[in-house]
Amino acid sequence: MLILTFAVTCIAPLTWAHGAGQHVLGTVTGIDATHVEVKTPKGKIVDVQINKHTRFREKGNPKGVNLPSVGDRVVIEATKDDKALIATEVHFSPAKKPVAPAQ
Amino acid sequence: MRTKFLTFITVVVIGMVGAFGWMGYRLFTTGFSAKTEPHVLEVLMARQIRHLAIPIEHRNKSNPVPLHADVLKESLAHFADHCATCHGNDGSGQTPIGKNVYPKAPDLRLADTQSMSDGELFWVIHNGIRFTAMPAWGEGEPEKDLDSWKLVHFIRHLPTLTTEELDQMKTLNPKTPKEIEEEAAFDKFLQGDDSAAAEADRGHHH
Repeated sequence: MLILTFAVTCIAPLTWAHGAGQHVLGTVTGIDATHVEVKTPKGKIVDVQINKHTRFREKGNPKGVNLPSVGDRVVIEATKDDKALIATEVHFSPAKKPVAPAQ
Repeated sequence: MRTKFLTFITVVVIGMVGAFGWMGYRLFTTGFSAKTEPHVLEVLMARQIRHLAIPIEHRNKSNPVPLHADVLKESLAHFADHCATCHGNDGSGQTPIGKNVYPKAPDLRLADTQSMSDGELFWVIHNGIRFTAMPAWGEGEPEKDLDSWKLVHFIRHLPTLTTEELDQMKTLNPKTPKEIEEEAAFDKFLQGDDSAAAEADRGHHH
């Protein structure tokens, strides 16, 4: 009876909530093993954490093992906890390398 | 003897009044939020109640569906379509819904779930769990609900899910027209089209 009372009074009012996933689009301005820093098209700098579950997907080379580097375009799928954005998947396309001037 | 009994009843009543008073105080002053993590005591009690809610003969049932590659393939598609919205394709529960319901969607890959018997997993899928976000998916007689038994196989497979399987699941997740538009915009952005960022920026994005 006590358990039932506890369940009804304490658990029942607390079932559904709502939230949203996050996407971060932009150009990589910094990256290391724990985070990637992205400059969005609006000029905002966004820091996204990376962990062992983060997956990287290179455009046009989905089975590749490359990681994004500074200057690459990224679309990051992330979840947000209380303090930080945590990347679940990082899609990136390498920055176009400047063509050397013709001699 | 009677005095002891009255003392016991008095202590129980005072305890209940105190507990209700405390809950009332929390409710009317700070409020309850689904964002908080359940207290360890609450988790313990809830799991015990869930365990006790499953009849013993159902707990001990073994999976009537033989494990086969086709079964895994079918249940992967089923999970991606029906379960991943809350549990995530990888079963981590790290989704906008899974992280914000109360109690949180568990990480299905971990021991708390994997240590449940096949019968318990089936029961939870078929009957749902009261006072949580887990609905009852089963229809009709449990004996005929082979889809839920197939999902039990897939839940067992979650800890060893491959990258290729995750990619396949992404193609099978239900998508709204808005999400399809967003994906196209993301693709264009990666190809160098800056205007696509504005299109994608209309949702919940930075």
